Amino acid sequence: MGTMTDGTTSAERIAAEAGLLARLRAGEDAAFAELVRTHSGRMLVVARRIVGSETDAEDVVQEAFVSAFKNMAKFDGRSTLGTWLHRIAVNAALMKRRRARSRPETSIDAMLPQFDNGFHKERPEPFESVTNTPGGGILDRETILAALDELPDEFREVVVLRDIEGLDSKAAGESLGIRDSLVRQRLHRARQALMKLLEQRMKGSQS
Amino acid sequence: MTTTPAGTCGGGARPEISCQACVDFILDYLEGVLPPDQKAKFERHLNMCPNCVTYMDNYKTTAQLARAVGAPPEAPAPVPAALVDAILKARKHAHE
Repeated sequence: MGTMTDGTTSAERIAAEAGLLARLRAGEDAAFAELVRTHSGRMLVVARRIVGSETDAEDVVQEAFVSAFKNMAKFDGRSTLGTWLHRIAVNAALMKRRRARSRPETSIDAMLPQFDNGFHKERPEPFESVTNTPGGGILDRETILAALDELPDEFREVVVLRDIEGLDSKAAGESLGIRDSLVRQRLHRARQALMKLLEQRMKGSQS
Repeated sequence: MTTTPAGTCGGGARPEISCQACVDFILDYLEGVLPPDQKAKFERHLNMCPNCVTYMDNYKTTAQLARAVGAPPEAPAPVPAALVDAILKARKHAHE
């Protein structure tokens, strides 16, 4: 039996979660308070990662909990409450971001590799030659997030869900309301575009 | 650097699949879902095309960098008491 970092066993965790769920379904106020106190910190981290601002992230967490409370009867117990809430928070954050978008949607095509008669039009340069620079730090977290931010939403979202939040294609597709094959297709193009954007930043910081 | 110039592939030998097709296969290849015949063509292409090898390495690095943004998972953020209260109040309002 696995032991968690806080010393509880996984069996104890499962029993505690089942107990909490029963109390939630019974509408017990203290159970809802416990749910919020237990999970809101992680949800806030996720929301902040997607929407950027602290105020917006708090709004997202609140919207996510309101949605979770409404849909508590639909929680089927196939995942943990934490995983379920994580997904709701991701969806709420993505929605918030879409609503807030003021810039026009850009096309991803210009960010994809160009081919001439099937061959690479430009010779790809190894990333390591530009990442192993004295001092390093060119590709820090902020740089990656800024590059990610340049992707059109539908492509950015799949990178957030698959690579950053660690969902598989099926779960990401369920969050976005698209087939998992489309998630993979978008992920592939998004990673290629992100590669180009990172490359431009690395080159820019060298010159 | 041994990379061939852009516009060529593998020192004159004609590849079975183009660089463009090779690049299209990268995700499926990395996730192990490329059908065996396509996988064989893909690997033969990589063996003769340093440009595609470099491209795939950069692709893998990009995915690793994106994953690094979310891992290791950050510790839960401290939650303002006012936010907890607002959430619980919102639930009460929804019931009224």
